[in-house]
Amino acid sequence: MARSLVPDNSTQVLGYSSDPNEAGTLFNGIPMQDDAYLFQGTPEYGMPPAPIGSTIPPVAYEKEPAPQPPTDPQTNPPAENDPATSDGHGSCDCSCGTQQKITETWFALYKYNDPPDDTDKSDDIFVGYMKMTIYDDNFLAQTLTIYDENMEPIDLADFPLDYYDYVIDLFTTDTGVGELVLPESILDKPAAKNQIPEIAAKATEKRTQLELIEEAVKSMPNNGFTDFDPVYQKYFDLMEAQSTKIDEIRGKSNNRNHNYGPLYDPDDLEFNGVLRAGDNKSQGFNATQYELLPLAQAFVKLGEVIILLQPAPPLTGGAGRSARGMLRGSSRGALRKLDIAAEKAQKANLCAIDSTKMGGRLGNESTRLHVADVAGELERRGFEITGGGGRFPEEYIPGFGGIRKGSAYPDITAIKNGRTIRINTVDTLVDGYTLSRREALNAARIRRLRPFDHLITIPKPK
Amino acid sequence: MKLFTMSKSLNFFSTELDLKSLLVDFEQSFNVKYVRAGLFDDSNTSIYHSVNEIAELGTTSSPDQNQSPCYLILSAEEEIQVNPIEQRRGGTKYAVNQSNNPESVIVRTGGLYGGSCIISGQIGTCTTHLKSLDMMNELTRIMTKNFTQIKSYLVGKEARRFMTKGYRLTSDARMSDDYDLVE
Repeated sequence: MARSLVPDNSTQVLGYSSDPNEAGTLFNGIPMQDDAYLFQGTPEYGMPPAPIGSTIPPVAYEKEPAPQPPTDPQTNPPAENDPATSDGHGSCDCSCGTQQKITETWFALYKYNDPPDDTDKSDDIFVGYMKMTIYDDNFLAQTLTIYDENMEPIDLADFPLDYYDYVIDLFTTDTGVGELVLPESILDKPAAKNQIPEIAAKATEKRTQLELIEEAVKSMPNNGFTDFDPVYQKYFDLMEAQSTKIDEIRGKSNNRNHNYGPLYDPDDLEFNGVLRAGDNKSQGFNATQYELLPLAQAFVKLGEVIILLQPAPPLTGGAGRSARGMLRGSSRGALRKLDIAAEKAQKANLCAIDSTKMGGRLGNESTRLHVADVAGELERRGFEITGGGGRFPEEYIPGFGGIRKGSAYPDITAIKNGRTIRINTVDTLVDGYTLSRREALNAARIRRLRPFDHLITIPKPK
Repeated sequence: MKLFTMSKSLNFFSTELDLKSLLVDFEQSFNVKYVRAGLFDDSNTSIYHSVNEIAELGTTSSPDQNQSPCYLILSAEEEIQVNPIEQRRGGTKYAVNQSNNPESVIVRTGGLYGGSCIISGQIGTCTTHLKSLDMMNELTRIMTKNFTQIKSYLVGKEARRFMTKGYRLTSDARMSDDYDLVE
């Protein structure tokens, strides 16, 4: 079922509707600056208003209802240019094990030359399009594709998303199958080389800057998107170092108010997590509070979805690079922060932890130090510890009917602004973020016993 | 002396009367003071030299046990240690807890909530300091003597009367009554 999207050149307004029935009808203006909160797209989650008088892109689409997934794949063959088909997977909505396309989102990528905001549209430079497709068995950003102005795909390796300052969410489709028909006006969109000379000069300047950035980034030690910190004897995310360097070249300060810790803070939430659906389907992600809910909404269509909030190792490879480029500003340094804090706490002997006999419910010394350190971090973020953390006895959550069986003792309970959060440190599998069966059951039990509050799981140090 | 190898706590349901009678008994054995625990904006601590001085005992304004008032109980001659905590967003908050006061026990009071519930309380310690364990043992002795054990909770006499009248005994009033304490 092909979609017929009709351009409407008279529409200049950037707007947004979260109504799925209106998907693909309006533009969503997201001033990206350096933090690509692509999913910061709903007004109720704090999306900044669209720039007044925005004129890009000069196309809009006629409202039409979201297409329904077909009931019979035979009568609704996948489109020829459907990436799900081209890479060997058909699209269907049955349970035959093939891929099912969940959403497809197109973005227009722009650069601008007036940081820290994008108020001056005159120097915006159109650089290409980006398509992100989410499949049921192939999660976030796995099929992120970048196109140049001629709609030729660009290799992600040659096209770091870091370089894009400004992204316009063109439209999102909610198609089980179907062909997304791009209007001619998009294909005819002029690129930087065709713009007025003044802008072209700025583009050249920007390109020079980008070349400098590229050179600097290339010269940095790179061993698979991680670098080795001899002080802490660990590999860390190279993206953080790269971002810092890029900021230096751009002449920006690096005080972007990132809050890298893995802990939940209702006012300033940034965390890593894992989305899981069914067995053997999982995808790590880095997200902010604004990104999480739209993500969850997209993924909940997959059926059973578990969202585990925890610091996860940096994503690696193409998917990791894409995801990080899109959802920047979350995990970098989270593990390092934990290590540094634990080390400091250990040295300063800050933790009032029972060391006469270790083990049992509270875990060994390393676990207790870790818990105390996490509690310390919570306190520094304004949380009041009310249970555990080496500050108080652990909270007791009774089981059904007040019995001991089925009860739980979270490692840390804390409150802030009238909200309660609980933290459990957990054992993970070798991948570093999948909870062991025992820990997953414990976490599920606490969530069942206290569905109104947040539970955060944090991997134990290894 | 029995050494606890993990944090030890007693979870209970009590009214003001139950808790006062418990702590007045306890004050016969130990000369103690009560210090409001938590995270505060200033370093001034609220200190009470007897349980009778505490005004807000036996009631709570929150359905969640974790948000009911909590006090450190420590020897009257003991100096309370307040831990200043530099906030990431600037400023300083002051923590009063067992981390810097290991010779203490804590009591989270719980109590009546909303005219139909009793929120659970907790007495316990997470340290192995002998003084703390002494006080904990004494509190355990008095409590087991005067409170009734129902499943995993100790229930005060008056709280039990409320229970028979139909009050919910719960650690979180937002939860379904499936998780309430029942006899």
